[in-house]
Amino acid sequence: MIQLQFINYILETKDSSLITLNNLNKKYFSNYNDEWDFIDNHLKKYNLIPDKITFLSSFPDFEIIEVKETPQYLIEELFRDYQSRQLSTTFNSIRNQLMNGELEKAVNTYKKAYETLDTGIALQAVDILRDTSRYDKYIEKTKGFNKYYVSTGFPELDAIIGGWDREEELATIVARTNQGKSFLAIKMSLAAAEQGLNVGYYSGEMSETKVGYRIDTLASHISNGALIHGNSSIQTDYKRFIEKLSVKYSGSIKVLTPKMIAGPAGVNALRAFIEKEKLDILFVDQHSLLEDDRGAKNPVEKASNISRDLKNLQVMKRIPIISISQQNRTKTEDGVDTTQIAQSDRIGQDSTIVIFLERKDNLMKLHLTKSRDSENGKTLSYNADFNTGTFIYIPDEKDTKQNEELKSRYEPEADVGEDEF
Amino acid sequence: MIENKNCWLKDNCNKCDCNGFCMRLYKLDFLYEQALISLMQRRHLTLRIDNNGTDEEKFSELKNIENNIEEFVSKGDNLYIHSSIAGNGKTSWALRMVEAYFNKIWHKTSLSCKALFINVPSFLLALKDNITTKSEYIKHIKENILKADIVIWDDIATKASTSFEAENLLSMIDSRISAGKSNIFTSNLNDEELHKSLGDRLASRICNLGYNIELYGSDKRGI
Repeated sequence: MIQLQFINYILETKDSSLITLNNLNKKYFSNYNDEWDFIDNHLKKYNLIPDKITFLSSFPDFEIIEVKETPQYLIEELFRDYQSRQLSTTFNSIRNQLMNGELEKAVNTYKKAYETLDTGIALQAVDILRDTSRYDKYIEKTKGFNKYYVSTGFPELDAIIGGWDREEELATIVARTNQGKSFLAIKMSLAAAEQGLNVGYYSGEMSETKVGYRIDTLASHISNGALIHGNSSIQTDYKRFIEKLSVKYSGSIKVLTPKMIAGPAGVNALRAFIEKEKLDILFVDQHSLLEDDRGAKNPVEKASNISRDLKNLQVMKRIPIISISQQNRTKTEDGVDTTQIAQSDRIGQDSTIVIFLERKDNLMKLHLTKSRDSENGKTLSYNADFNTGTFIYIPDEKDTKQNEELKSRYEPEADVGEDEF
Repeated sequence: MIENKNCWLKDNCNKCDCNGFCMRLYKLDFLYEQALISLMQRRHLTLRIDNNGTDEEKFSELKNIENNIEEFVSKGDNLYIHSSIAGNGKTSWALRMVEAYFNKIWHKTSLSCKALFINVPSFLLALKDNITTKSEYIKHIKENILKADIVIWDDIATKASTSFEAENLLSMIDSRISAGKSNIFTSNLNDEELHKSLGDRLASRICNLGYNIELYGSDKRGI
């Protein structure tokens, strides 16, 4: 029964992570070998659990039942089921040996069975105390930043987080509406392209042309307003710039919009985007404009599913994924934290890095509220001109050396306006 | 590019970045905006005494505070400048203290509210209006009153205060003094008049908890 329950559960939820994370295979589905093979092959070929109609067309007699148990219960019962089957075979052998008076042989069968009993949680774990391959990785990292990290485009942010981790990064940029989230993500994608990476940018809202104009502004500092509105005064400069653009950057920026795939992308479409374009890094603009492949209607459940699927996608594909999320309406006078990500707490929990963006006039602040491998709680301030794509770092109180340099650079030659007394 | 001829800082500047991004102007503008000090009030004014030398000693005392403004702020000192004569430098000196403070800290401070200029009569009017219509001005002051390193309470007690006004002022000033934050008060009342206007509790804090300087010079506005 548990095998039937489990297969029904994954057909209903389409959650492939239960299979991959628990190393499930054919031996756990002794009563449903063919059904399992079908699901497993479909998953391997299309990166997706088949839907019920597809499945039932091959197995019309398969019994569809409602499963209300938790995933943890199902996994534990599935493992227990498998162990019982293993043990029953062993007990039969022991019983026969004992009946034949082969006592020593029976004891050995028991010992062997005990030693080899598959507990069902034998994931392919690594013994950290004996496996030292990470030392080799460390040595490689000391030699080449670019191989393991991607610059964010903000040297001050790179100095804190080390750049995006090329294998283990699901970062989230959070801000309220009209703060410049997309502009920031585009600047970051340009920095990755500058490093020679094949960058993917999913734009759920903006056309590829507008994304392009922003890239042009960031790369050339030509007024974004002039580009959008077709101001002829910049034509010569723009022509000169655009002719040299592809030479200037060794990487590429592939933009995907809903129009190109006949509707909003889900995580499965992003997976296809990564595979087809062989992306090194993916930017997702934005979380709330993605479809839930599981089809949840409730916004919280939908956001939670998308977050979980993005996390799985990142783990499976091992490229950095940087997504944009909306900030909720909670008051921020006492600072920001991950509970202020709109729709679902899960987004913050799944993220390795969470950066809140705040902009008032030309002052832009990046609040690093979560960073798995570095110090949390830092704020970086920039004088940001989005029209010309310029970002000037404003040192904070702790940047003593830079502050002293500022002082000496701007020190007036002499005091003026001496008082008269 | 900054239009140099319109820059309020141009007379006190080495002009190293007039053709690019001037970090000093940017940070000072931010600090002054947060302090609610207008563009006109940011310009450096020459302070002068009467020809007959009236207030020379008081101006020297104030100059000494200006020269040691960081110490004044770090100790949470307070200053009360008052005179029954209008236009003889009370507000100018108060603004000069903030100017001196900003000039000392601009390069090493974060972008936050470090000072506030509160014209008390305007503030009290806005405070009353805020009961019915929420005001951004009052919100800004309330958010920063305990964060700002130094607050100018300009023209405190120009008239007899109501209990609502006195209680609000007392609460804010008391909280700042308890937190070791500096205040500069200006008024056209002497100590005795201040006690009558604000009540003993508030007046005592203003008159007795720091430097108490009375000016006697003539009105120099328009000179």
